[in-house]
Amino acid sequence: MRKHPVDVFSLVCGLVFVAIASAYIAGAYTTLHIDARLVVPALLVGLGVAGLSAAILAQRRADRRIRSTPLPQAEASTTDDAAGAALSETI
Amino acid sequence: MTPDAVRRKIRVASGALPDVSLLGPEHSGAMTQNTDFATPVTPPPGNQRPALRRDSSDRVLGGVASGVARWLEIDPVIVRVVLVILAVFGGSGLVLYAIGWLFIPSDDASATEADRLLERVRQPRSTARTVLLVIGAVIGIIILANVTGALFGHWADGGSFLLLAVVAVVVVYLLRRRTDGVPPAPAGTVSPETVTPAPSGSLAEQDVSQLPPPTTVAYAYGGSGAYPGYVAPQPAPVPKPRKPARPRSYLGLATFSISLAVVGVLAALTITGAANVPVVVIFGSALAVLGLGLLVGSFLGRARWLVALAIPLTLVTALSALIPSDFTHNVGTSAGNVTWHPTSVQQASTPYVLGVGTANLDLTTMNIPAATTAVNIDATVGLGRLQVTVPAHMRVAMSASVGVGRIFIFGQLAPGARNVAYRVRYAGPLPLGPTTGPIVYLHLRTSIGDLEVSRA
Repeated sequence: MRKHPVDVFSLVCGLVFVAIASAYIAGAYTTLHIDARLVVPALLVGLGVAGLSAAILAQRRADRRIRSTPLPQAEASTTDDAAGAALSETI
Repeated sequence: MTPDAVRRKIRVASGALPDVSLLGPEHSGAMTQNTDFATPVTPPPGNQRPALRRDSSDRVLGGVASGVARWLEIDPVIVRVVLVILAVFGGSGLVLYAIGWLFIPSDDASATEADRLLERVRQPRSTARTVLLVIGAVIGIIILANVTGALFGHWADGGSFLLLAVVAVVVVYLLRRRTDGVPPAPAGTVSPETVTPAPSGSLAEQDVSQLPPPTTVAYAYGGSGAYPGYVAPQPAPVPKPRKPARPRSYLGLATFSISLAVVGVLAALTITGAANVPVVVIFGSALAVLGLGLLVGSFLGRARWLVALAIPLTLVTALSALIPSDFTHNVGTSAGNVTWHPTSVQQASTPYVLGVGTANLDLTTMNIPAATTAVNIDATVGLGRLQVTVPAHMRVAMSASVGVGRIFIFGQLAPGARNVAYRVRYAGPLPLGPTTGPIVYLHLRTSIGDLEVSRA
């Protein structure tokens, strides 16, 4: 497996799922009681935080990349459509 | 030139057309069984049936009806009317039309829509693949919402749609976001052998007939810039090789496999009786494994798709937590609808247990000797209903609990019990009823099902 910059989305999601799982496992053996109706909102909040933080981080990385590389190059291979546009210029 | 225009042009130029003009209704087409589009359709002699192709020149939607009509050599209006009638009554017309659109090639294209769709779904980052996955996720969530709706009445009505939307967004996000690496080579990329070099120059102006016949039906736009039968002129500035393509990560697969094995081992332990692992712990462990896989994946390898798996597993875990721990044991005891009529205190002192069904505990006929100060009565139902009837003059005290269900005490919903409650306990004020006389202590329990105590 290759090391890569921290993937915030996976990190936050992993934490959320591990937390929910541990709470339930603990609840089975202790008196800790989990209101099942709160699990879904918690899940939504967790996913939201994960997506938001990942989006912010990705945006920052993208901004940094655009600032550090010449513009046309940065655009050329970012998306499929950009690739198509680049192709159309060569035709 | 917009990318779309480029695509269209390339579709035409790639030699996708065996001769459109030869397929007109006035010509009889090729053999109807001729689906080998690599060989150009030649105008056959005689009055043979025209090829089954969607008619692009006379179409309302996709040209299916007119194509079929041409093939059957009847008026397209007839086919359309039949399709519309079938669509209105039962909707099979829509299905038939969709099938026709998918599997009958258009007369201006070489591949069927189904082929194209498949080709696009095979591409790792394609919209078609995303759409397919989202549809799958949505169907899964709808099923889950229906299952959970029974138990989570309040939020399942509005909440499941919110959840559905969030899951869809997450799936799209997972599948679309890969802009900081080189997009992987699409599966549909044409191998070098099949690419016939074409003279460079403006593709648009080339005579279509000069192009080699299509050797592949690959439809590989949208990603690589490699098209069958076409070699792009070397782009002037060759972009610097960016980050090397991310190697495929098997972390997700490994994590998923481990979680499966964990579920299997824990279930086996429970089934064989080696250990009593509650269902919630089994599912919770699997969820924990997925979560740990995601945590590893945030530093090493890649396993984001586990989120799509962990979301439904979270709901399953939450649901399984509602199953009371004594449920399995209690349910296994017996089944049926029973009425318990204890007539003496001795008789009532043996605990009453019913596995599945409705139990009536009738205390109206029970004789309590005057010297008695307290009587303990124990009744349990695994899955079903427990109804206890006490005489009007009896002093009762009770502790009642249900895993999933409701508790009614003398016609009133016990405090803390919602519409569908779980793990409700009720310890009534002591004692209920007359101020003197022996006290009857009721110890009542249902794992799943309502519990009711009423006066005769």
